[in-house]
Amino acid sequence: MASGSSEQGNRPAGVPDRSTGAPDASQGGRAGERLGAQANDDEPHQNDRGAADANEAQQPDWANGLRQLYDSVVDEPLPDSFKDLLAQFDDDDDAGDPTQDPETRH
Amino acid sequence: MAGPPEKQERPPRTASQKADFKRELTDVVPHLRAFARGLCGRPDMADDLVQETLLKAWAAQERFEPGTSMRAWTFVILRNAYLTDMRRNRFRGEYDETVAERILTAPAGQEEPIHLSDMHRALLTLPPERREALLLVGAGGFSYEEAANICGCAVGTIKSRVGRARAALNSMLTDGDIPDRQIGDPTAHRAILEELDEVAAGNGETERLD
Repeated sequence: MASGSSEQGNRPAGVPDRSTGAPDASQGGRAGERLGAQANDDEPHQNDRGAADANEAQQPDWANGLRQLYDSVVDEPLPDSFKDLLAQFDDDDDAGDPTQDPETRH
Repeated sequence: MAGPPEKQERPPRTASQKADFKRELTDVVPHLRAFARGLCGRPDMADDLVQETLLKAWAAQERFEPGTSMRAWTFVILRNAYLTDMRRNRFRGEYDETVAERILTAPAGQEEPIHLSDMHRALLTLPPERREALLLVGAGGFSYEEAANICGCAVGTIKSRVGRARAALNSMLTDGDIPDRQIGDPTAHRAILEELDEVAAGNGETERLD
């Protein structure tokens, strides 16, 4: 509980460096049984260091798959629709703010 | 939609601050897509959600504290947009068949590879708040503290949700016992809706940015 200072906590703004997308979870072995055992505990006793990295080594084989699922999307080329939208933001700067959603108006 | 209670205005952004904001926002788009895909399953819906998020983020940029995590900030917006959409349209989360062909890299020594599709399907059967907790920590690499901030709940709650989500996935993936699309099952469907309502009702919802 002492250090909440995972590197994620102190990273600079923006995209955290996710270094290599595929942490090595291959030694996960049967750690899943341990995870399963504490599953009904409202306060699983993982310490606060908590960042995924810290747990990675003890996770079942599939844990790596979550990262892969996520990273597979992160690595996809960005569809043009997003580039268009982002480009549109620049144009909007002069013309008031048509992107302003009514719900977010102050 | 009730306005957010915290309305401290910051001075309008300079052009260079806007440029910084836009650059950071651009950088984070792939992560928003990944988070959204995990939340709602279908790529087209997920991308709609991200577009909505980008518009809201851009409109609310003066509430972004420079130097803090753009990814965490935009994830809050995305999750609130997701919850709002879900409430309006009820549950539309559907399994994306296009991932069915893809196979996860099998760790050495594992007899049978886990299919990415199995993982995805299993993930989508989880109650929404556990799914998002697991996505944030297990896939997005957020710390428990960061995930708790994003979801607006206590760190212990996030830990508990992640633990339960892991146990459920573990059981499904290890035993190969993955339910079919739960949507087809009225009982399960109702349970999902009830849990969703609970989350949406502010139980665990962060300050609204939308």
